[in-house]
Amino acid sequence: MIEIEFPIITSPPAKRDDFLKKFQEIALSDFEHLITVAPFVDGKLITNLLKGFLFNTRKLTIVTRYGDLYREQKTLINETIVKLKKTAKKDQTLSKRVVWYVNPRIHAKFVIKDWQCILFGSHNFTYTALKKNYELSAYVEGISPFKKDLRAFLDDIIQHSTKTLFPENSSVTKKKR
Amino acid sequence: MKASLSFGKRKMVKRSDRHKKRIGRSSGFVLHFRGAGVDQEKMDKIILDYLRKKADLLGEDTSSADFNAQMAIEVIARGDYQPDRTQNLEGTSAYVREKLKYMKDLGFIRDDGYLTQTLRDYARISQTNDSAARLKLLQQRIGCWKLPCPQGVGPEWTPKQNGYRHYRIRPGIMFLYAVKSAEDHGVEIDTDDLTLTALRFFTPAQHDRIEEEFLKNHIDQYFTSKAESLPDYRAEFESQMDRVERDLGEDLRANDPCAFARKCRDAANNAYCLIILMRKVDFIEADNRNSAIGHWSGTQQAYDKTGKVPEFNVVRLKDTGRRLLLESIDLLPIWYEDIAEEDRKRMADFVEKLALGENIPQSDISEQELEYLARLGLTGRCENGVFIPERRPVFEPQYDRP
Repeated sequence: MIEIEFPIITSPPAKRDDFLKKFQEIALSDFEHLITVAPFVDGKLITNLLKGFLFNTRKLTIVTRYGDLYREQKTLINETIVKLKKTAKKDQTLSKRVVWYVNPRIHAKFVIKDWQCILFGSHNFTYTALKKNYELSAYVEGISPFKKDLRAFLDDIIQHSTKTLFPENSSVTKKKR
Repeated sequence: MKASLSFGKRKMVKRSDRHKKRIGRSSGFVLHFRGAGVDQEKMDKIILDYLRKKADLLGEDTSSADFNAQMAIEVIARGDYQPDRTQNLEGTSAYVREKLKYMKDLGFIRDDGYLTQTLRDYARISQTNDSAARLKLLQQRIGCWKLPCPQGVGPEWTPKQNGYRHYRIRPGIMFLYAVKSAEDHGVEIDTDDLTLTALRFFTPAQHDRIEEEFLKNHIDQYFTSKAESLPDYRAEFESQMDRVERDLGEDLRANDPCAFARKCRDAANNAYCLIILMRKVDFIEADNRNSAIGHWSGTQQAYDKTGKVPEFNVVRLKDTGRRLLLESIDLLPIWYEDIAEEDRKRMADFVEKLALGENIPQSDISEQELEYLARLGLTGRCENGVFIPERRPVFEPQYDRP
């Protein structure tokens, strides 16, 4: 059964940051696989998200842009990657469970949990989008009937990603359109 | 010039080695368990608070002092702690640190701030107010509670190390063992006895490494002699005081007439706190009958404006405690840091597998690796192409790996 939570709003004057709360709720819940896709992400947010991925079997797929980011965003992402690599020394399974793809044409913003629910809309995963901008999104539970299409969409995004930030050497097939 | 400057700088920043003199020493009589005597409701709030702060997606990295101060503010705001000193947060930060130590002891949190599954499970349980599930989880955690092994037992150790570098025991299991041993010898066990047996601090000078076999022998010997005649408690506590003064190189009693009473009180308080935890998790029952009447007791020492330590005297095992002791006593606790440097991760993976109850296919492990496992105490037999250990280890990646 499909359940929709709408609107998921970020509005500074109304002091609403529903998306952040929902994302937080998802991150703290029990899941096996989390997929986060957004062109712009705050490195610190990903670092905090990764705190729940040490010494367990959870999987995390991240897709972002990288080359055309602002310098500050890039610096934060680089710091996150360094931390991720250090953490991978503690838990060797991490590089098999966490993959960070770069796709320069990504524009969609969504979080999928276990192919069961999706949080999507206009929010990037940055402090500005989550706290300062006017943004609108939606949360849908029971998306398994759409898994095939969504999976194909994600596979397309991954297949056409240009590189992986983590793990560094994982091979990515680059196809020409 | 440049070279000489940098050399000078190096000399200036050279670390003092004063702290090395304190390795393996302690100014207390017993291991520290203050954090164990916490109020469960307050503890639950702190655990949820910790999780909320650490899992905050937009949270900033803070130093542990700042983090403790932030937690302290919320503790005061909730009215869970009345600070003595209103002008600073030191007292409340210490209160928070005590709680964090409890969480670390029980494997809820890690030094690096990564969120463990245990913490998430506990938070979920405490939100649903499922007291049976909470009890079960705490009981399970006490079964695998090991004294923390400081990182870098080798030459690269840091001043952060605690005095327990030579301890390789599970304090919860040793506590239960002491109660069982007293029962077997037909004597009562009280706070003083616990202070002098399972919780007693030994220095490396007394014994290089405190392993469970050593401590079990010490406990058994103590209760054998108690079965014959009542120990001279005062002399035992005074010998501890002598040891502390030797360790510190200072005559504490000459400078402060209350020094001995203070140390006795602190030791008894630690034992008392662990009794609170063990009673809370239903492993023991303890009553307030004063078995110390007629003999000198560490718990009865008081000074200035302090009262005597409220004590639980006469501790008895309950069935749950007896069961845990029976299940756990033969398990072999292994510390990650004790696994040899070369290929530590691979060996730790084997140990972890065995701890989970799995066996290792012989094809996956070499003869040398099997020999190494045997040196760790994991001897066993090979049957149908798999290695089966005689004793299963106690080892968890989230808890044991630094």
